[in-house]
Amino acid sequence: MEPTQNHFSLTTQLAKWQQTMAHGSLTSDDLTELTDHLTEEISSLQKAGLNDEEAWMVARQRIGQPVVIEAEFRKVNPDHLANRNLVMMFWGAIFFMTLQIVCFALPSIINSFFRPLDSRGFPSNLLSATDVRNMLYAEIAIIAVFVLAVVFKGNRIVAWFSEMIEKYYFVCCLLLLVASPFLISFNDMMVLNHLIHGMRSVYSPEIQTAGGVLSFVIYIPLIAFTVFYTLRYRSQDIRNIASFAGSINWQASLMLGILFKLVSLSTYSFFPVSILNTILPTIIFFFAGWLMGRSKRPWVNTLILHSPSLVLLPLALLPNSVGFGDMFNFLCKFVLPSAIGCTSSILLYRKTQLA
Amino acid sequence: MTTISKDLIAATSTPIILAVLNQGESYGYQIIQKVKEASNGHLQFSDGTLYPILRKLEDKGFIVSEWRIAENEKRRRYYNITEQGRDHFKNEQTSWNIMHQLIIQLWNQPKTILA
Repeated sequence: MEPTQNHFSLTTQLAKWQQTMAHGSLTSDDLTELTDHLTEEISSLQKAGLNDEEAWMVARQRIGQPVVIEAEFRKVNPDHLANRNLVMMFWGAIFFMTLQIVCFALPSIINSFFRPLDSRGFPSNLLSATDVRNMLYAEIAIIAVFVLAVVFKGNRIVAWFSEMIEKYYFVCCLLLLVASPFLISFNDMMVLNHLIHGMRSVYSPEIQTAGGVLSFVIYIPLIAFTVFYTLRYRSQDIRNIASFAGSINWQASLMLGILFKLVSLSTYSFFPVSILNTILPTIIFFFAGWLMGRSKRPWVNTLILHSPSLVLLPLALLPNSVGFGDMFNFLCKFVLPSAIGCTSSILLYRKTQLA
Repeated sequence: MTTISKDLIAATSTPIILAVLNQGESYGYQIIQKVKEASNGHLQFSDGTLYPILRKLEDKGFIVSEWRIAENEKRRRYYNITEQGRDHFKNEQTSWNIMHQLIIQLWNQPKTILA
C-alpha cells in the first residue's frame, strides 16, 4: 500500500493556510511571525518522530483555528480589513489611470512621432483604419493578459500587492506623487481627445480650461487619498487626519510637500493668471501648516515640506508661457504665498495651544 | 487533568508574558514553550492568540519588538521588556501575591469561623 505521506505536501498546506490568514485582520508582519511559529512547531514535532502530515495536523491544532486567531487580531487591528479594501480600491483607480495611458495616450504619442506635426504640435493627419485596428489588437492582448492573471492568480496577486504596499509604502507613495503630473496630464480627457481624435478645433479655450479644472478636481484628491490610505494601512495608529498630523515625520512631510506644491502649481496651468493663483496656494498651505503644527517637529517638517520648491527652481528661469519668467515672479507668486499660509497657520495653532 | 478557564488565562496572560521576558529576550514560539513547560501542560490555549496580547503589551510600552534574522535564516521578531514593563511587572507581582495569600487564607480557614 502506498503511504499517504506521498500525497501530502507541507509547502502546499502552509501556502493555503497563509492565504486563508492573509484575508483577515493580520498585517504582513503578523503573518510572517505566525508562519515562523508554525514552522518551528512542525520541525520540533518532526524531530519527535511524527511524519509531515501528522506534524502538520498537530501544529495546526496547537496554533488554533483561523477563526479564533482572526477574532483576537481584529481586537488589536480593528481597521486593518477596511483599510486594505480602501487601499486596493484607490490603487485600483491608479492602475486604471495607468492602463488608460498605456491603451490610449501612449499609442497616440508614438503615432505622433511618425506623422508631420502642424503649427500647434499635433499630428496633422487622423489615425488610419489600419492604425486603429492594430491598436485594437494590442489592447485586446493587454486586457486578455490581465483577465487571465486575475482569474488564475487573483489571490496571489492581491496577497503580493498588499505585502509590497506594506513593505515599500514610502517608495510606492513617492513614485506615485512624482509620477502624478504625468498621470494627470495624460489622463486629461481633453488631451486624450486631442491626441486620439484630432478634435482640437472643436473645443474652445474656455472648454479646455474647464476640462483642466475637472481633472484637477478629480485626480488630485484621488492621488492624495491613495497616499493617505497607504500610509494608514502601514501604520495602525493613523485613524483620522488629526492623528495622521501627529505622526508626520520627514518622509510624510516630503510627500505632502510634493502633493501640495503640485496642487499650487496646477492652479497656474488651469486658471488664467489672476488673484486666484495667490489665494489658492495660501489656503492650501494654511491647511499644510495646520498639519505641520500638530506634528512632533513642526519647523523641521515645514522646511522639508517646502523643499520641492528647490526642484521647481528651473521653472523660475523658463519663459513666461511655460514658467514664471523670472525669479521675482517665482518667489512672489509661488514660494511666498505657500510660506505665508503655512507659517501663519503654525503660529496661530501655537498661540491657541499656549492660551 | 484540570483545565484552567479561559477567563483566568486571559487575566494572567500579562504577568505571565512579562515574567518570561523578565528573564531575557525571547520570541513568540519560545515564550509559549517556556510557559507550557512551566505549567506542566495545565495551560491549554491557542498558540496564535499569544501574538495579539504581545501587540497590546507593546502598545502600552511594556515591551519592545525588533525584527532580526534568526538562525534559520528567516526574519524573526524578538521581544524585550522595557523599564516601564519591569515596573508594571513588580506591581503585578505584589497584586498577585496579595490575591494568592487572600485565597489561601480563606480556603484554609475552618468552616465554623466563616459561619
